[in-house]
Amino acid sequence: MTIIRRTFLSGLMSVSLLASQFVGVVPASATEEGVLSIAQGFDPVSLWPNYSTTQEQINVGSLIVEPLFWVPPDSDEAQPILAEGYELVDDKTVRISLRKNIQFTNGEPFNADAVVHSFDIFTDIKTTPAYGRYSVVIDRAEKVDDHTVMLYLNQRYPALNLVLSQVFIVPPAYWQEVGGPDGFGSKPIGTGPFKLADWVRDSELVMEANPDYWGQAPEGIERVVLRPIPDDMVRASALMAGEFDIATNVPIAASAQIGGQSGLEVLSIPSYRIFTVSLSNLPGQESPLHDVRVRQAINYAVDKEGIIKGLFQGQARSLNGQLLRKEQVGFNPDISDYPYDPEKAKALLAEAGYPDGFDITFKFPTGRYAQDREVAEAVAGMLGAVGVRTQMVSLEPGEFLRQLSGRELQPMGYVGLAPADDPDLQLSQYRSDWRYSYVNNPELDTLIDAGGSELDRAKRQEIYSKAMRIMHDQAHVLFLYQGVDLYGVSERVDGFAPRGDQRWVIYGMSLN
Amino acid sequence: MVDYVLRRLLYTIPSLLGIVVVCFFLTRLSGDPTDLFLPIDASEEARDAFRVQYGLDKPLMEQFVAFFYKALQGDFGNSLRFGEPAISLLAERLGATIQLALATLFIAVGVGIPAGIVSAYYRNSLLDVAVRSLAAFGQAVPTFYWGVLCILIFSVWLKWLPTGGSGGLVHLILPATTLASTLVALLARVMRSTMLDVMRQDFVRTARAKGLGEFTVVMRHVARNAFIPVLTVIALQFGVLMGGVIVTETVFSWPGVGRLVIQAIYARDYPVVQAVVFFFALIFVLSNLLADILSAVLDPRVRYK
Amino acid sequence: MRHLRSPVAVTSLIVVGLALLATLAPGLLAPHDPAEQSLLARLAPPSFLGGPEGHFLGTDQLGRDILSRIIYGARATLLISIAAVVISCSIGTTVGLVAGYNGGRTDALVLRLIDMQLAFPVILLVIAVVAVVGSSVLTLIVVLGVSGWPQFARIVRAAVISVREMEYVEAARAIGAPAMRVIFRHIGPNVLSATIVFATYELSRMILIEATLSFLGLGIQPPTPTWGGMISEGQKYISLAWAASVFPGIAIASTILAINMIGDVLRDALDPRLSGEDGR
Repeated sequence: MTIIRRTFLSGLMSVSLLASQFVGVVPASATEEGVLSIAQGFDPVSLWPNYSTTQEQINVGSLIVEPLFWVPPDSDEAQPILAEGYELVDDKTVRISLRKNIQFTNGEPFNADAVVHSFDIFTDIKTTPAYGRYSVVIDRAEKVDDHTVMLYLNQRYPALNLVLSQVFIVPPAYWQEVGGPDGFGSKPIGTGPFKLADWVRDSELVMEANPDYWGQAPEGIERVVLRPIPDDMVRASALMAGEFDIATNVPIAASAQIGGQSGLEVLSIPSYRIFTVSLSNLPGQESPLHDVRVRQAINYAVDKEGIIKGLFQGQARSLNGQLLRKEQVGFNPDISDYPYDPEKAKALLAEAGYPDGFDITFKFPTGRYAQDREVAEAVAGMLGAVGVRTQMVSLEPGEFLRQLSGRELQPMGYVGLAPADDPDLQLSQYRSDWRYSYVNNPELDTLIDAGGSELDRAKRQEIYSKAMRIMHDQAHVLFLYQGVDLYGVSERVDGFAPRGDQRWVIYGMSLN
Repeated sequence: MVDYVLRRLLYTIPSLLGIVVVCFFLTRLSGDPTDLFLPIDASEEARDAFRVQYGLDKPLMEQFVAFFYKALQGDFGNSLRFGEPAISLLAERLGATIQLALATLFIAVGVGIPAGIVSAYYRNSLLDVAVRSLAAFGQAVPTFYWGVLCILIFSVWLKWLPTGGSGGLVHLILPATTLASTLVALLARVMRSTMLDVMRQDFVRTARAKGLGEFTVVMRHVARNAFIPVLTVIALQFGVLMGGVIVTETVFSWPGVGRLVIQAIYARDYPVVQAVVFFFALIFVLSNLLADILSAVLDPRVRYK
Repeated sequence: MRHLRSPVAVTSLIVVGLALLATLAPGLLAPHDPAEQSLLARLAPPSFLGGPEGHFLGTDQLGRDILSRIIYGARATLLISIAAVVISCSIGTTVGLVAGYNGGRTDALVLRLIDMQLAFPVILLVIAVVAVVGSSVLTLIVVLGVSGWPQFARIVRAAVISVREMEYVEAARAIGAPAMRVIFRHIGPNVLSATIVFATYELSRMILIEATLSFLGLGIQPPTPTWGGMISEGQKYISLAWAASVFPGIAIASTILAINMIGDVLRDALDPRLSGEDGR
């Protein structure tokens, strides 16, 4: 009996010994000299930047394939990259002059033919469906000479910089050779500072410096290594374990820890993403929300500051009672947030005929935005306190998008929309006939149309600030907050400056 | 024997076909990929173009017939996200998942079975209670929680092991241990209870009466017989493991099939979902067949009916 | 029933009893309203570790009382898992009996169905269903219940087949006794013990699946708390406030452990061969 006992136990012990031998001898991989290592949420699907509007993909692809222009953060001027500049010949004609003596890494020349070819791809809605919103304003591009291209527009368009900076130039012969977007997306060739070296999907993407790069190559970066880490907390942990130089979208819960670790800092970038709760007043979507007093009451009932300070530890910004950001044309300085005033909310509800409140459906995504479920629960809790009893409906992100774009996210839906940086692109989402608009206001529609074709900056300012006033007074949405993107960055990285739409470029970056 | 195996293989065909059909309609029920592939503010024209390109504009039955005809020839179509054949995407990631699965099985069997044997043999002792409590604990903690805890302890604090990614054996330790946690617990429990059943049987008494050593009795007669149901349990766990694989691969950024399929499910990338589900079904069916054959070999009393 | 008097069994009974009490009348036990928020007092540590008075186990990411949420969370958690197991066990047992007893074509059909169901990833089933009808307690019970039947069916079917052709069953048939009853009497204890072990395992698996679904963003609708949901939410704050995820974890672990222990005790009690000897 005793013999067996010993045999059993020693067997068990040898198993655990074996296990302990694996552990302990292995140091975690550290960051290397000359290698910029980046952890982001997911692996790119395609390295052709015009494949989708997902910034994580464009960021990676644009290290290899370059655009004509780039709009830096905190500016709406287009900075030339592959172009030398552009000028408006008239309201609908743009002359683009190109840089000379540039070659793609396969030896093809960068010239007007390549640019026209890239515009042709860009405007072909079958190949580039994701950019239909931008390409719809382009009629055609024509070659003038080897280094000049003339672009003809369909309409007067104020956000021209946005369009021009989204067209990425691919080598025409190679594009044909690999059979278009799918082939190009996995083996891209461009003019950029890096070349694709190795790509194991969902695991690791390695790029090497392009020795013949035409411009100023980023200093000290010989290789860029990207690894996808889907879980936010794990991504932050990997940064703290010293495995990366940059981790994107780190959760607020980890930001204090990252900031407290020597050699690391947290970069907090105000995002273009604006969070609101849509309050549908569309015909056919009947609810108490059709009464403006009810919508206002809801705005009074929610403590936005409490959410920003409590849930986001200050890592979010107040909306000032409007959708446009301070930096944007059309921001109305006379408007401020609805103050947190539950008593006033109750009074307004009573005035609207709901002294005992009412029941209403409130839809929100789980897993689409940072802390989305928490925000929704907090909002629902505050609304409940004034008698707006919400029936909460949590949606899987895919289903959420379907319902949003099918106008099913009603009567109340928590959304964070992040259109490109232009008031027209922001506001047309609230035009009453827009696919996912939940606002029905003819006066607002008129203003949106007027702003969309106005080129004069002062006039745009006037139009949009009027629109902001209407949206605020009519309380068409519950104004919540502007998001903030958090990046964990190692000290040895310099010049990392992401934009509010999570786009960043390697130009100007360096590694110590 | 050969006859039996062939017949069993033949039987799997209707099940697999059934899965292909169910999966087709389930994925279609779960939503339109257009909303996920194009930016939210894409124009109606772009949306239509996308639907036409992938045949999503056709009536469901027509889509089904086209799909089924191709699927019969082993072609599940091209991924909507990658534009590549779903099968080749699957093949690309298979190696990583098999690695993970084998390591997990190794740990689960290596720890779970001995624990079960010990627990059964010293039934109701302190050791037994300890094993059972640990097993319950292992079963009670969700895989993702284990994973996050392990990363915090072994990667961030102790800096012994990487937080994830693939590479050498080092990268395998945390994910495999995490994935094995529930399986270890289950195997220990099943092993314990079948051991108890076997120990009561007459042939064990006979063996004892014959004066065989206690160790021989336990190992050769009891454990060996108890192992047969455990084998079946392991094979049956495949479906359950699938859920664990998805979570584990996500937490540890392991580039395997689990991550491929969860991304595909979220993105409504129908062809990839179908290919992976079919493949997992196939593996499941085959591993169960293998388990049955193995138990037949181990236990001569099983007849090939 | 001397099995029930051992200290392990008594402890287990107390734990399960508490969980059941929490399920039936959470208001009696909980010190706070589980939905009452305070964004200024979020992620507080337990009061016995220096946290604010009145929150014995601390507060969660919305400043809600963790103890109260665990108590209220018992309802949905246990309801989902128990109901799902009851459903899958009854479907499985019935199907297994019918298939095993009839054999032939029925049996073949059932086997194919079992293979199909087992080979189909539950997670995909759940996403598809949740996407279509939304995630609720009822949805989860039905989906999990329906997806879990095959294992039970296999256990019962195998047991029935093993005795179907035995001589005394044949004999019973020959003298006109209802063979089903004979089968049931004979296989009863065997099947019962296997089923109980498996059911307790399934119970914990259901709780875990619910937690995993929350992790994947498919959990049931707030503000209803569940233990799994609490872990998956609290997991994000594990390095700031471990209490938010550890205590629900302990609730799950102790309940599962208690259920398992009771399962084992029941199994032993129901198995006449075990009484009077300790199994060695």
